[in-house]
Amino acid sequence: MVIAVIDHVKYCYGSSDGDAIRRLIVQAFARNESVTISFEGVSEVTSSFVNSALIALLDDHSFEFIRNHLSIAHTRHQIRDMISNRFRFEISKLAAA
Amino acid sequence: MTTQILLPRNFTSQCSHNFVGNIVLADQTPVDDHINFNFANLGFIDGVGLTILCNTIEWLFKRQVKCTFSDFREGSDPISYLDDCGFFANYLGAPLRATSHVRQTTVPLTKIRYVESHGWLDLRATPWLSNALIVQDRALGTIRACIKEVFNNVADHSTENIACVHMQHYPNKNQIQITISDFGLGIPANISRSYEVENDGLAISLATNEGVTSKSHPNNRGAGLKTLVDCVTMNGGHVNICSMRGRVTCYRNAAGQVLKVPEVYPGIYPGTLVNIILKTDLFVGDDDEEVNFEW
Repeated sequence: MVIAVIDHVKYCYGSSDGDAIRRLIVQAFARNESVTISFEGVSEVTSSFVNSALIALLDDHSFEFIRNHLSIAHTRHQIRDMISNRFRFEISKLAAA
Repeated sequence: MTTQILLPRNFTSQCSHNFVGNIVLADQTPVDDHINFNFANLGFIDGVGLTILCNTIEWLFKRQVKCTFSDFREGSDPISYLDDCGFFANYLGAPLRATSHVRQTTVPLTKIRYVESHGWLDLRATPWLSNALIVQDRALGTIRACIKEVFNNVADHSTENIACVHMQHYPNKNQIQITISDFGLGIPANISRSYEVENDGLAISLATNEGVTSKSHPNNRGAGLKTLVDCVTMNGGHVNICSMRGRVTCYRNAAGQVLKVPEVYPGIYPGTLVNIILKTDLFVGDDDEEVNFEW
């Protein structure tokens, strides 16, 4: 399943934008579907958006599961950095807990 | 009663606490119900000074304090600058000079609600930044995200959901300053809900560390200010954050380490002021290639 974020939220800005995308991902995971999130046409994302859309998935799924079932496409430099930095920190925090 | 406030000779970020300390009492109430701002001594004011002045006036208005203005010498450089920024049109109802106009080097101070911030960023800030930094709009994703992080902080931590924003280009210094101020609770007040910190300077410094959050929203994870500081300093810029009795200046040394210098002042800045300083000669925009993310 491909989720083009601009089809679902106007901006990747606040946590409510991220919540909207996470709900779609969670529904797909519940159907045992893998998901591709496309950021085509998105110039930047905030940490609030990434936290709500992606990092909150760690509450119910392991990082291994997320990595195996979620692909992220059409990302610009800022988006790639934000996603990888946020996951790196949260995973290291989980490992240390 | 009327309290006379003499504006400082050089009204810059360095004046924030001393200036506001004469107006905001320790219990965060105004010093008087009528304040007259006297401009007689003002020799220079920059965009940060203007933002501090306007943010303070708005804070006073919200508390029903009458504000008046005196001794502005029409034609002097700082008064012309304030006039061109729309200060007198905003607070006196009309500009001082018929020739008053917004300078190309200025995006004049605007009060922006959170819901309006994306539109302001797209239509006003991005074209201006693109021109000042001589890069395409598409190269500004990182800087746009930094500004959004500040607006998200205002929305999450301020009861007002409104910020005063000003942008100024100083071509002779190869510098752009983006100043965003709110009069919310302030970072130290938010941080002290969850952490014990010795003073307000250290509280602000702590808030710029990843993972430090007051959890004012369930998905807040303490990444916004860290992202802001990392991105701006990576581009050779500085971030200055002023809130309550503290101030922190963040920059990167020659070895690439981020340094944070906390300071404490007797006066209270009501809310938070973030000043982003970009060096136009060091700025490297984002590459705009869209590729697939690799885990």
